Amino acid sequence: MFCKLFILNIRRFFKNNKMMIMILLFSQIVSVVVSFMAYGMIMNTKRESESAGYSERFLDAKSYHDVYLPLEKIKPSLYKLLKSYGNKVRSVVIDGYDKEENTTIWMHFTYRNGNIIVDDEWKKTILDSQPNRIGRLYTDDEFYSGKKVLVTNGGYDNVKKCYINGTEYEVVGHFYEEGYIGNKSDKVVEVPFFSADDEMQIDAIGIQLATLPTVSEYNEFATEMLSLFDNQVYVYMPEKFSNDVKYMYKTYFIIAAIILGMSVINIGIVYGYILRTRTKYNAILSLCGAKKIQIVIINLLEIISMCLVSYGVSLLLFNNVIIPYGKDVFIYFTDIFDKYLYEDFLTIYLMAVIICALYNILKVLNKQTITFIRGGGRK
Amino acid sequence: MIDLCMSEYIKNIRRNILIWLLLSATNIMVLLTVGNMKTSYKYYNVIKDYIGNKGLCLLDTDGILKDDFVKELDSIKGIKSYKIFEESGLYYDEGENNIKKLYLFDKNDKKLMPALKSGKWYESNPNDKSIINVLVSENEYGIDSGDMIESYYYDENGSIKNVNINVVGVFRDGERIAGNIKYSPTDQMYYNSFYSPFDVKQNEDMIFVTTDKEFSKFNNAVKSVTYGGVLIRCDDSISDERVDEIAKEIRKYRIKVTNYEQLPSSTVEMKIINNNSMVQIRKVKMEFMPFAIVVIMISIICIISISAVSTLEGLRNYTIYYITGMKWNGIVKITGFSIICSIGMSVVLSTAEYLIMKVKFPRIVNRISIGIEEGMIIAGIWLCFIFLAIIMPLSILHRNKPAELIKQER
Repeated sequence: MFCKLFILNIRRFFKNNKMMIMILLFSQIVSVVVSFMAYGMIMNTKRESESAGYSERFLDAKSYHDVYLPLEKIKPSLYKLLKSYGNKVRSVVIDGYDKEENTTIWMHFTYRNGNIIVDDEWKKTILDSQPNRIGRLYTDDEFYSGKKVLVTNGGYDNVKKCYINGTEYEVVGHFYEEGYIGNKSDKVVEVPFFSADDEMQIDAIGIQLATLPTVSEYNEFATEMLSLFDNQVYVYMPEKFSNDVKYMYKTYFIIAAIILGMSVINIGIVYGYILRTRTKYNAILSLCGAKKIQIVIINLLEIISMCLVSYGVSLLLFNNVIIPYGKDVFIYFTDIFDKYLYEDFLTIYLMAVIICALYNILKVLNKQTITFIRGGGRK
Repeated sequence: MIDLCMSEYIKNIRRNILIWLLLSATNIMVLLTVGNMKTSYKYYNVIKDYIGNKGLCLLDTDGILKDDFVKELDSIKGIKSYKIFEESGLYYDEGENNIKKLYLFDKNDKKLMPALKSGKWYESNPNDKSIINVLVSENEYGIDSGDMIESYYYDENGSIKNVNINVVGVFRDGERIAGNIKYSPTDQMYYNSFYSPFDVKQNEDMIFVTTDKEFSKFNNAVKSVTYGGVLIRCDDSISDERVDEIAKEIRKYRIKVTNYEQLPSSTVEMKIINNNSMVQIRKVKMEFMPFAIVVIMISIICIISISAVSTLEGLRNYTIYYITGMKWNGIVKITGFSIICSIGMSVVLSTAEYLIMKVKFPRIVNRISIGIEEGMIIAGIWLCFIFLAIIMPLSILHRNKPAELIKQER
């Protein structure tokens, strides 16, 4: 009986209020999509400014295409720079390439009190960001002893030995995802700095400082790199994240908040109207013996089912239209949204709808019978 | 009639308040969206005449005296126009030490002056040649807005002149400064490269900023070109060979001035900068597109729902008015009055919201400019609202018999 009434109510609702239903559904879809967008943009901006903060501290030199130097030649310049920057150095990364093996080589480390040491911060980040890793990262002992070990990216899980410049390395782990740097065929290895051969071919050096590098720090780095690579190198001047961009994103948030507010008001207007058109119907149910709680549940189930439909449509719209369209601009969108987040959003959304609907339903129900008896359900 | 219109409006005051809120929110949203879009292009707009045409950008130009360089450029055939980002130096004492860079904003750049953390930009009294107004970056010297500093500058004859600089405002780190051009791979330069954010720690010193008009009070003060601060637009019909020749002629001049034979050939073709700029603009547009679409969608849907609810709720009354002898134009008058009142109130509310935002979020409100585009969009939304709100009740009344409408279940 209860179910029958609920279905009947929905059918009646759709039959009598087509335009209002369309407006209500549309407003709900817009509010959900805008909520997703606003949340996505907040998180995207947060990550972008974090990564900008990260890159704006990076002194980075990358040689021209096909220009490499052996590590042996790099070391004196590197030591000179590290000594000069001292404990201001936060992390160092050296990129190399082995043409024969078609392998990209990375070496991460840091510099403290005049010594090259394991970069614990990087180590933690890499362990946290690679939950599907196989094997392990090289140990501190292996790093300092110069033992010939390395870790590779996915797709090479069966590889136990690896050759770089003809030297054999033991593969202790498979960390990075398959195709980590763009191409599935690209092989990436992480080698401890002291394990690397002097002949290893290097094409890029990055030194991250604890703060934005000063012009003189940049000049020192640029001069050293230009002379080392005989001018065959790009040296990037780090740039502070502009206030302009920050305020542009803040404006987006305000616009998103306004849109959200408008959709909520709109839903309130439309749903309020729909409920007011039901005074007679609800009063009849009440006179026929339906308890208040039953009428509330019928109305609530109706709005919840509508919400579920609108949420589903919004989800499809967001996943299939907005994310593919915006992923080039909002680069972290695909990382931010997962099914758990959608579930959390749905819970919050339903709770908000139930509270608002309950308030409106009870407001109408509290005066409906007497209003009906007084005549025709007029205001 | 006015009494009836008023009583109808007051009777539905709760719904009307929601209409004020929705319309005012739409107004603010349109202003913010269009303002944000305009702000993103503002640096492009200033230099688009140069980067959008055949020409060159010269990089290693720092330290070259502007006036000499202007003479040189004027003497080269094939150059249609040029823009030079210029700077000067202010000294704290009569020695070479304590020089502070002074960036000069020309009349086109003036609207791009950095947003201020404190103080307010204004021009000094043109008759008082002993004081010029400047803005200063955040600094460790304790210089703040309102401070008057005694300073010196060199004139073209090499003699030292003193001047009082009046600091009228302080800008934050991260503000874009015209002519603050960073060293970066030339194939990545785009319109914002000529307006890089300034950071006092990175530059290891503070800078001053003023306008060229203000600076012109200094008699014959030395002005030089900033690094990468020359944009040259060549004649439209110029050949690529001639552009190369111009680059060589300028290089020759720079070798003569700097006395440095090994001077690298550091010019960037405008088409590279223009291509990169177009990519950037496309990116900005992509960022705005979802917002613009949602803004339009939500505005339309709000207007439709408000009109529909107002019509349906007012229909019974309109029918009674019609039965009791009121003509169609009477109903038009009632709804028209209601709409005009709501639009008027939404303007008042938007102004109030704007003023509150100006206090709470001054940097965001600075991005709003009320121009023709914004006015037309807002007027379009109002027209839509007026049209729907008048047409809807009339069409329903026309299609149905009054008796049917009166009997309709509520």
